[in-house]
Amino acid sequence: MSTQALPRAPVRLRAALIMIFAVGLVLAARLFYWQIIRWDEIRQRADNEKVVDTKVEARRGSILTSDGQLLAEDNYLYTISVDPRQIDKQPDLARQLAPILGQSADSILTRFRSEVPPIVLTKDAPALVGEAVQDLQKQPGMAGLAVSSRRVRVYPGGSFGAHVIGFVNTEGKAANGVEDFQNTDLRGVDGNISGASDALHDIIPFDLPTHKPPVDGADIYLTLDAGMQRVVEAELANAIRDSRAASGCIIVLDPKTGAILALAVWPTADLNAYYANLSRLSNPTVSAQYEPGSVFKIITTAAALDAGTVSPGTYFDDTGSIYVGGRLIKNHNDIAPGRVNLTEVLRQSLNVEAAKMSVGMGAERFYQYVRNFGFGSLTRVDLADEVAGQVKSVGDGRWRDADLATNAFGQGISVTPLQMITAVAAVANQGKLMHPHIVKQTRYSNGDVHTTNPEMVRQVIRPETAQTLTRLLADAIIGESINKAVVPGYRIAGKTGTASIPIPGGYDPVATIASFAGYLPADDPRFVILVKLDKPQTSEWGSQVASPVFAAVAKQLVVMAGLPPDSVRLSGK
Amino acid sequence: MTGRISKTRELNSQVSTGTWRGLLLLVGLIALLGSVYLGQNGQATMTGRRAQDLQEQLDRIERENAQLEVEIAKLTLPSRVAERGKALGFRPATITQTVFIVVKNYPVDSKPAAPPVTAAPASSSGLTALWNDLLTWIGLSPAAQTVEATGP
Repeated sequence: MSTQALPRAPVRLRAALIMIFAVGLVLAARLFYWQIIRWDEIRQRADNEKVVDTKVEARRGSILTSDGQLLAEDNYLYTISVDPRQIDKQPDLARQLAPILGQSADSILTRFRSEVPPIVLTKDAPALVGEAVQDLQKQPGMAGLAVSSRRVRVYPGGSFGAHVIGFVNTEGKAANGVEDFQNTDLRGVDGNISGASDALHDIIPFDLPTHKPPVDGADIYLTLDAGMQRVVEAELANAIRDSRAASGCIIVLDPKTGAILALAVWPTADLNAYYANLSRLSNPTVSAQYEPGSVFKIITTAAALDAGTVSPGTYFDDTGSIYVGGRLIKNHNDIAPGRVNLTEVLRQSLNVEAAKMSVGMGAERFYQYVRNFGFGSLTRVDLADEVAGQVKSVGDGRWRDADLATNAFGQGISVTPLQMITAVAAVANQGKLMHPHIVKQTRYSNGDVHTTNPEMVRQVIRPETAQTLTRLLADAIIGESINKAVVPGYRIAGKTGTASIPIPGGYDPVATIASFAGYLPADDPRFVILVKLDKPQTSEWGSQVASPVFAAVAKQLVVMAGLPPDSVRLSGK
Repeated sequence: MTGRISKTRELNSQVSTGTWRGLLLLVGLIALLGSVYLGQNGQATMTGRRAQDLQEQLDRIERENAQLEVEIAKLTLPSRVAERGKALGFRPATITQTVFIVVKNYPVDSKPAAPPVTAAPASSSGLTALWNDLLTWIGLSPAAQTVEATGP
């Protein structure tokens, strides 16, 4: 019996062994598949369950004026809410919250008992309040006390420097001004922290979490001077009120460096409530173009003097009108002053003589100067949304012969206010066109500091030409007995402008743009100031509404800068 | 036969003793490794917890600092300062009110002017001196009088 059973047993055993081996092999193959081949994916799925990866937002850099006045900074606002059902001792909590929130304990307790939870006790509370309530949360029996925070961009000055700064919206997207243009430097690089998490996906300190720290954004120091900015904003508001203009702007520039010292635009708005006034926050000094009118005669005269087609001794016979390209060019108010020199041409702002100067130079040379002064191209200022303006060129299809004459007195040519002041600053700066800039210094979080150095774009006119023109412009202002741009004690050079506003089919018959561009002290300019008022109601003339604003600003700037009157300053030379 | 059995038992005993020693060694090793691992892990957890606390403190201080900076900026806003000055009776200086004194041969382009220097009060009463000494002793500088550097 045993001899018959024995041979069968190994067969069954072998079969069983083979089956076990086969099953083992299949299991091993599956293990290999899951553990080796799909290891990454499985590991990832496991990590997703237990490891939480949290983004650590980089702090957005602050924006400050050159003298350290904070203009923009990241801040946190807190919302504090309570579910009284999860509070052990409600009267105690009410008593502790009262001084923090500035509310009475009774009113808080009443809300606990009367309102449907969760009860929002306060919204947008500052950090000191939020952090104090977070301390209360740590006490036992406070499960129902909730504190949540959100990061916001805060502009302490409200509308102060609004058009320069720009804003960051609730989604964290930058728009306009320095916020937009310098966004790469300001925003920094987000970091992250990952580690084992609890059921609420909060990191638990079971192990050292992997931490990639954020790189905070750079702090940007502007060339703006806080005091000058205040003066300019206040004077612009006064000018708008007095002239009943629709809008306007004032720019103050350092002609030697191209640094923008102050820039104000009206209408303006509070950056903290940007959403309510989006249209008011675009910066027309770089993104809107206008026809500059007679201020442009500074450029035409500079070009003609530099080209040698006119000189300070040149006399003109002004009959009050001239035909160029079939178009009749006339002086304002149809005046025909007769024999006049260049100073008189500038003083009386004679369109006919300006036209003669550009025609005398020839289109090619005239437009070459115009372009060299920076018109028709971007100034590359470090502000967002800059436009290039419009300068027609001979042969571009839009240009007509008459344009050569009208462009000479700032008609038919579109510029931005910043282009205009930069070009005037070139005359003030011995003919050197400087690159206008608003960022003085960028301070990175790693300690690196980048300082913006003044950059000359090109020498537009010879220094002698610039000096001659300055003398003519200053003489023209002195020659005017009631010039409202005069700053007592200081010789100023400048030019008024009264420009028509183009509308479909021609020009607005009533409305004008009144402006004044000038600099002081004339012999060694420290400030170039452009005042532009759109559609003033009290007078259409730049000499009446813009010149006084120039003087009001200049009078305060010289005191702020400690700039002595010419008699004092030049007495030591 | 009996001799063979006793030899086998002896052998078994030797094997058993060796195995037990090996097992004990293994258990000891595992226990040692385990305690080292747990110790390290505990240390890491403690450090992680401390790092978390410090980070929270840092975040909190940064947030409070940011709020204070904004509040200071609001208070020092030029328009606010101007209004406050006006309310206190100050008026902006005009050109005509500003007196400039010409200093002959003043070295305008030479080295920058010396910074304001601090000096001890020229004369002080015995009580003031005692007070200043006390402040210095506890590590606080007494209020220094700033003296403008005089020009050449």
